Amino acid sequence: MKGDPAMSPEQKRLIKITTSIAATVALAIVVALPVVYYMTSYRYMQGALETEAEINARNVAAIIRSNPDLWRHETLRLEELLKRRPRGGNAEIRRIYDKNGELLVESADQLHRPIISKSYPLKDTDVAVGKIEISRSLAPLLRRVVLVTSVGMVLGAAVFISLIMLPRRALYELKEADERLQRFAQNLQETNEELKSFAYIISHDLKAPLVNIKGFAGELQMCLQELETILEKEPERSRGDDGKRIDEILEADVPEAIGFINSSVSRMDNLIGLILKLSRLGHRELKPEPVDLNDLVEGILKSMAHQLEQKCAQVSVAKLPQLVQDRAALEQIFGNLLDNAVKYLDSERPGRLEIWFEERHEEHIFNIRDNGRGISPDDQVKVFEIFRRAGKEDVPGEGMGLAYVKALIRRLGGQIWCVSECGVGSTFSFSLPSTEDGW
Amino acid sequence: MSMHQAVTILLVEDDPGHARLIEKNLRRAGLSNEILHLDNGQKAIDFLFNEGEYAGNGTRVPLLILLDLNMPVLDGYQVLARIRGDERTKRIPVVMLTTTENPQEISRCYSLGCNIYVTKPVEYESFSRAILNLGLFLSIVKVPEEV
Repeated sequence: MKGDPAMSPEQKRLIKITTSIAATVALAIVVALPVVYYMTSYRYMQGALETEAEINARNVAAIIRSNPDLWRHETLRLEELLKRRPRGGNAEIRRIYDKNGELLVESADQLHRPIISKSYPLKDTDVAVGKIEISRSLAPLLRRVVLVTSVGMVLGAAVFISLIMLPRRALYELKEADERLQRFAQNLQETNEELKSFAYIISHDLKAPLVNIKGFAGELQMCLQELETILEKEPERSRGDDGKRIDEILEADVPEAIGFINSSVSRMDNLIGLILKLSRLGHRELKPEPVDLNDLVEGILKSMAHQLEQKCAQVSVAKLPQLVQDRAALEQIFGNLLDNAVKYLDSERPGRLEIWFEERHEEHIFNIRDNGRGISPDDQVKVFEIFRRAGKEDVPGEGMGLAYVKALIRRLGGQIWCVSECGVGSTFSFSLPSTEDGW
Repeated sequence: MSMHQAVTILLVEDDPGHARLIEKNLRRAGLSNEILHLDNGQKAIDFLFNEGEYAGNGTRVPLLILLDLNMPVLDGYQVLARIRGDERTKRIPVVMLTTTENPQEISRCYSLGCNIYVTKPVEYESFSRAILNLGLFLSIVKVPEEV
């Protein structure tokens, strides 16, 4: 990962900053740990020596009080006093001096340098008559400081490494995730390209044979007409069973066959055209502009006035928002959905349509409710698929409208769904992002 | 009509069925010109520039080219670009034939310099009509003289 050429300058800067932070923290640990340890231990040691000296001084004070003038000569008792100390205690040198600084008694262990000493005055009723001094070696403390220093270094190194690795690791993960995302995006792009070429194949390669089928069916038809005129010129042609059969073939069988060929080709051509229309939808450039949906829906309903009257349909439209969207796309979405709602109204009861919208988190939800014949639960997903239709096929349609609407809505960044009950009615709802709200 | 007899129609079309239908309809429209059918773009280039299997032939002019857009090897765009890019052939009228009415394709053909554009509709009647109209158009078109 070091010096990774794929790293952006920003990431390199981030790495630099985190490295210097890690170094500072690690250095602080390495320096502070032994220094703090030394200072606290030294202070503790000083305190301990002072206390020890004070206790000793009090003991000596008892001897001084009983022999105010002669205490300096009680060396045996003083020595015994100095030697009285806890077993396994620290190596020490204890000395008693008189007020002239003359050494009276000492109890000495071997001490390594450096040495720290503390003294406490000896008093005979508030008058200083000498002092007691206790010394200890600093060596054990320094040894422990060395130990603490090495522990601090290990700790500092660990902190340094983990502080450096954490952001690098995070960046690495980020890069991996980004690469994964890019792979997905590329896959998607390829799929899109495949779909585009699929549309091209449909439009060119599938249409070419259709031109031939239809064209030569036409040629056959012309041949047939010519043949009929030729045969009509021969009234004396044999009127036997063969002749009757020839008439039948020319007048019924062949035209029937040609008729089926023609109608099937037309249907296929129509389907190909619809698929093409759907596939081109993805490539049309959207032109967002402020659109007042109240006007748009009113316009559509006006154009449907005749159908609405036929079905005795009542329409109630709530106040709709203004959007910045592609006007043609919105017209087709509302147009198709309203057309469907009216087309599939139940003729048994007066129709009722309701249009309203709700504002949700960053999107608008539009609803179109009818009291038409409804869609069975199995068909509620199917209706959005290309060429699929639900229920009785008593209303003309190509099975294309909702597939088209779904593709359009997805293009605008929304979704469509429906809730329906057979015999009660359907509610088609779709969402559109409101971030481009015109207000 | 007789003054246009000399115009040879070069039909470049890879689908034999389409070629036959176009020829039949042109004849039905009353065109009696010689129709030369080539089934790919490379052959058309070879023929026009006396290359490959047509090397050594003198260029036959005047010509009119009916060119299919969607062909293997060299497609209609490439052939059209070669025709318009060469001093010897750039004045030859070119009629583009295609199966779709994709606006992008149409505008690309015009920007490359085709004279007209005819879609091959599946509806036989309209196809016949298109070819018939084309035949009528061809019967009145005056091929510009070579300078």
